[in-house]
Amino acid sequence: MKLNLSLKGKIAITIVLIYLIIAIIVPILPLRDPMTFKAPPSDIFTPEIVGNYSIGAKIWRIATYASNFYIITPDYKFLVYNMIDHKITYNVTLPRANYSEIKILQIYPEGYPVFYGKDMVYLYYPSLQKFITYKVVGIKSLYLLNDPFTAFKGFLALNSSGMYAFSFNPYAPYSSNPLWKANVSEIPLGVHYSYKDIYISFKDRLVDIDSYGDMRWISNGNFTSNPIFLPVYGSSKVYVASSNNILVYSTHNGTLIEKIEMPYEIQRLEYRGQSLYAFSPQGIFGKVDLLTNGFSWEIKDIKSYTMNPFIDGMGILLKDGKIGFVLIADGTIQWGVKIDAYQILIGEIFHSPYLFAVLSNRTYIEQYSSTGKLITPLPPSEKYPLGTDAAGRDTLSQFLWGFRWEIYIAIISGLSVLLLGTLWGLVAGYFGGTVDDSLLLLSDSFLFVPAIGYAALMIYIMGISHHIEATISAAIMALAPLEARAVRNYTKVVKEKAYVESARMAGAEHWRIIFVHILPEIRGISLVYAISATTMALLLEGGVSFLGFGNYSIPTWGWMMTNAYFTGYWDRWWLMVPPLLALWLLVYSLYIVSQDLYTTEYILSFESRTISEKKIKSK
Amino acid sequence: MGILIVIILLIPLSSAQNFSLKCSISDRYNGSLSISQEFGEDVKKLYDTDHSGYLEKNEVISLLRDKGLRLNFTSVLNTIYFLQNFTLDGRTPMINAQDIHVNLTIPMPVNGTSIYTLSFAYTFYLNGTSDHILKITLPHRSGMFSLDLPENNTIVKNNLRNAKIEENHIEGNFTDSIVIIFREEYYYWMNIYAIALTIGLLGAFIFVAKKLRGGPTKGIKLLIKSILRNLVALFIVLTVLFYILWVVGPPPEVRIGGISTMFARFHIIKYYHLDRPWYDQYLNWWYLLFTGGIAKGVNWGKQPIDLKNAILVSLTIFILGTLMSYLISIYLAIRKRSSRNLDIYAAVFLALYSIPTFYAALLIVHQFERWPMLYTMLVAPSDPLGWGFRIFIVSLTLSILTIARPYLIAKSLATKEFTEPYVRTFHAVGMPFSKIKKFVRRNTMIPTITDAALNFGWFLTAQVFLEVIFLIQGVGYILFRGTVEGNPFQIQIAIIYFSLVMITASIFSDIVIYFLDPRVRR
Repeated sequence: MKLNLSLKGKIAITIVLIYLIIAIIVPILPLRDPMTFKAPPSDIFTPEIVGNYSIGAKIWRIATYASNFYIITPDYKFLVYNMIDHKITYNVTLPRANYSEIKILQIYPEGYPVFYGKDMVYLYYPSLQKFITYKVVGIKSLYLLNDPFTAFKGFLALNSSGMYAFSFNPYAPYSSNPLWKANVSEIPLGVHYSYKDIYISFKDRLVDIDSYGDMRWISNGNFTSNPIFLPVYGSSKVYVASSNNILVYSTHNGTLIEKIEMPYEIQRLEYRGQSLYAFSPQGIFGKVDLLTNGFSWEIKDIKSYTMNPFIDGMGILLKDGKIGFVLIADGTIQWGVKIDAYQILIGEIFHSPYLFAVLSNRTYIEQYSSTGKLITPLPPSEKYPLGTDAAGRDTLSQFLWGFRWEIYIAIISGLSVLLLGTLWGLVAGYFGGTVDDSLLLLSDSFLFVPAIGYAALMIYIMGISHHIEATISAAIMALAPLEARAVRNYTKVVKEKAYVESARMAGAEHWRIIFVHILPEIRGISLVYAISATTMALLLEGGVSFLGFGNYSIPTWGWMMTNAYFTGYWDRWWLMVPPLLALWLLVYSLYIVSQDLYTTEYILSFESRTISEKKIKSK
Repeated sequence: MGILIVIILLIPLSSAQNFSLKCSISDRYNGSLSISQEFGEDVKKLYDTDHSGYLEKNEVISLLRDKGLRLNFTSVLNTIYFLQNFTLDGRTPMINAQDIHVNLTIPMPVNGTSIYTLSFAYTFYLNGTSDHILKITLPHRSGMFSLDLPENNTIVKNNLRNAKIEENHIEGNFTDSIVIIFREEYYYWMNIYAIALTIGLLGAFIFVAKKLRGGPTKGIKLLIKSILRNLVALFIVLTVLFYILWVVGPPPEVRIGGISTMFARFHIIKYYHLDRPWYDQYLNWWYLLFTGGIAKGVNWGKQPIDLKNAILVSLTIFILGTLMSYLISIYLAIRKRSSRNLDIYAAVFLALYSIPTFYAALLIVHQFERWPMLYTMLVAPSDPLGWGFRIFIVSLTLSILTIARPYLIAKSLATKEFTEPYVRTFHAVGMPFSKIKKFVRRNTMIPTITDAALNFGWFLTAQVFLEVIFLIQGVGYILFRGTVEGNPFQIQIAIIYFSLVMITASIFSDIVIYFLDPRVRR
C-alpha cells in the first residue's frame, strides 16, 4: 500500500515510531525498578525543625539533658537554658580556666552535667541549682561511670599523680573525697566498665582494675581505641581496637579470645544495647558485625557524630556540612540536610529523641525531630530526572515502562479489531443477503453496550489483576462491530467493481476473491478504523485504571495518573503531565495518521467508487 | 450429645460392618441421611470392662470409637457442619447442628442387640447438568445402602452389590464407598429441547434480520421496522450479557463469593437458578427481568443502593446532558455562516474530547473548590436546590466533554448547507437571516441526530466517570461499585440500563427523524 502522507501525518507517524522504539528498548535501559524501587530515606525525609533557641550568649561548651541545655560561654559563664520556657534558668560565672567538654552523668531520672576546670571537677545539681565541686589538682581527663552495669556511679579523674575515683549519689551523703586512687601516669585512650571492673586502654596495654582500685590483669598490645564492655548479663568480653582489628579479651583473665577484622583503622568504639559500633579516623562509622567481621552497615565521610547509649538513634555531621539522623539498627540515614553547624547534640525529651544543632554563629540552636517530614513526591532533580511519586518510586522509570504497556495495549487491541472486524465486514459485505443482514444485526446489537460496560464485565470475569487483558477484550467487543460496519459498506462498493466481476467470471473462489481482490482495496479503510479503535482502547485503559480497576503492579500511564490523584498529589506536574501528555500525543498522533490514511484512501479511490455507485443505482 | 458423638466419630478406627445407610433426596436442595448400626452381644461384651452387664458412657464411647462409622465432620461457624465423606456433585452438603439427631441408649445393655442411629437433614445445590453424582466414602466399612430420589429421577450408574433399582429408589450393599450417578429426566429432555429451540431461535434471528433490514421501505412501516429491529438487537445484547456474566467463567459460588455470607450465597443461587442448566437459568433470568426481580441482587453487598433513585438521577443527567449537547452544538453550528476551517469552539471541544474524561472532570470539579459553598453543593448537596445545581453542573460537564462529535458533524453540515442554492435564493429574495436559519437548522439536525445513537456509547462511558468523580449515586456509580466489590448483579443492572437507554435513544432518534425528515415520511 502506498502511503501518501502529509507533513503532519509524517510527523505523527514518526512520533508513533519513536514510541515504538522506546517501548522496545525500555528493558535494556539502566532504569530503576518502576514498582519496587523506593528512594532512600535520606532523599525523601527532610528534617522537621521543631524548635529554635536563641541563647543570647556565645556557646563554647554545651551538653543537653531532658529539656535543658548546659552551656559554658567563652567568658566563663555557666548557663542552664530551659527549652520549654525558652529562657536561661541558671547563670553563674566560673573562674577563668580551660574548661573541658560537659558530660552528663545520668542517674535516672536526673542528668548531672560534669566538667572540669584547672584544679576542680564541677558537678551541677539541677534540682538544687548548685554546684558540687571536687578538688583534683592539674586534672587532665575525666571519665564518667554511668548506669547501667557499674559498681558505683560517679567519675574517674586523672592527673599526673594517678587516677582518682569519685562517687556521686544524690540519695546518699555527699563526699568530695575520692573512693580510691590508682596509679596511672599517662592519659588513657579510654575507659569503660562492667559491673565489677573498670577497663582502661592505653597505647600499649589494656588494664583491668576492680571497683576498689586494685589491678586484676594487664594485657599488652598495640591499641588504638577505648575499650567497650557490652552491658549484657553473662557477657565476659571486652572489645578494644588495634588499628585494623578489634580484639576481644576475656574479662576474667585478660586473654585474647578472638579477633574481628575490620576494613579500616578503628579509633573509637561505641555501644548501644548489645551492638558494637566503630568509628574510623577516615570518617567512617558503622555497626560491627560480631559474627562475620567487618561492618554490617557503614556511613562514610563523617566529620563528627553524637551518640547516647540510651537513645536509639545517632546524629551525624558529614564532611560536606550535612547533618542527618541515623537509625542505628539498620544504618538508615534520614534526611541529610546541609546546615552550617558548629556542633550537634542528641537528646531525649519525654522519651522522644531529638537532634540539636548549634549553628556556626554559636548563639543559636535548632531542634530537629528524629523522624523528619516526608517530602515525597520529590520534585525532579539530577538524581530523579522526573521526580518520584508519593511512595518514593522513580517517576521516570514508571513513565518509560508505561510506553511498553501502552504500545502493548495499542498493538494487541488494534490488531484484534483489525482482524476480527475486517473478516466480519468482508464476509457480511461480500456474501450479502441473509448473511449480511444477520451479521449487521449482530454488530448493531454489540454497539448497544458502551465500552465501559464491556470493560466492567470483562474485569469482573477476568479479575482486576488482568485489567489490561480485560480492557483489550472490552475494546474489541465495543469497536470490532464498528470496524465491521465500515468494512462491510466498503466491501459492498468494491464488490461491484469490474475487476471483481471478471475474477468471478474466471471462476475464482469466493475466498480468493475476498482476500486477493477485495481485501487490498479495503485495507486502508479497515486500518483507519483499527487505529481509531486503538486510540479508544488507550483512553479506556486510562479510565479503567482511574476507576480503581487497574493492576497496581503494572505501571501504565493511566495507573500513574490514578496514583497521583489518589495519593492527593495530582497538582504535581511531574506526576500528571508526562503520562497525560504522552498519552494525549500518542492518541492524537494515531488520530492524525488515521485521518491522513482516510483522506489518502478516500481521494485515491474516490473516482472509481463514484462510478461504481452509479452502476449500482442504475441496477 | 449429638456433638459429642460427632467428635467421637472423627477418630479413625479399624474395619467394621453391619451399617445401614438410608439416604433420601427430596428435591434439588434438601435431603436427609440416616445411619443405623447394630451391635451384637459378642461385640458389646468386649467393651464391658467392669462386667456390670451395661455399657457406661465411657465404654460406649470406646465402642463407637472402634466400631462406629467413620465420618469426617468439619464445623463451620459452630452451627454448621460439612460432612467431608459425603459429596453431591463434588460439593459437601451443609448440615445444621440442630438437625443432627442421635438415638443411643446409655447405659447400653450388653444382652440382646442394640441399635444406634445418627440422622440429619442437609441442604445442597447441584450442578447445572442433568446427571449428578452422589459419593460417600467410608473406608473399611460395609453395609446396606438405600437411596430415595425425587420423582422422575433415574439411576444411571452405581457401585452397589446386589442392587435393586425401582424407578427412583435404589437399594444394595456397599464396601468402602458408594458412588451413584442419577439423572433428572426433566432436565435430560429439556436439554434436547433447548438445543433444538436454540437452533430454531438462530433461524428466527436470521429471518428477523432479513425481514427487518432497512432498504426501500418508507413511511410508518420503516419506523415500525426500525423499532422491531432495535428490540431484536436488545434481545441479542441481553442474551450476550447473560452468556458472559453467567455461563462463561468460574462456578457460581466463586462469582458471588465476594458479596455474601454462606447462607445468602445459597439463597442467591436458588433465586437466580444458578445451579440449574443454562436454559433454565436463562428463562428464569428473563422472567426476573420482566418481573423486576433482576434488581434484587443490587442490594446484596456492603451498602444497599437505592436503585430507583439511581436510575432517576442517571436518566435525568443523560437526558439533560444530551439535550444540552445537541442544542448547543446545533445552535453554535448554524449561528452564522462561516468557513470550513476549525473554529475556536471546535478546537476547544476537540481538546476536551481527546484528554481522558476523568482528568477533564477532575479539573472542572477542582475549579469549584474556590467557592466552598458551591463546592459543598456539588459534592454533598443537602437540599433540593443543591441537588438541582449538582445535576445541572454534571449534565453541563457531560455535554461539554462530549460535544465535539455532534458539534463537528453539525458544523460541517451547516457549512455545506449554507452554500446550497436555496439559501442563496432565500437570501436573494430578501428573507431575513433568522428565517433562513430555520431551514438550515432542520437540514442540519437530521444527520446529526442519526449519528446520535453511535455517540451515546461514548456519552454513557463519560457519564460513568462523572458519576464516580462527582460522587453521584447513579447507575454509573453502581457499575463502579459492582466491579469493585465483584457484585455481578450490580454490573448486570448497569449494563441492562445502558442497553435500554441506548435502544430507547435509538428508537427515539428514529421517531425524531421520522417527523423531521419528509423523505422518510413519504
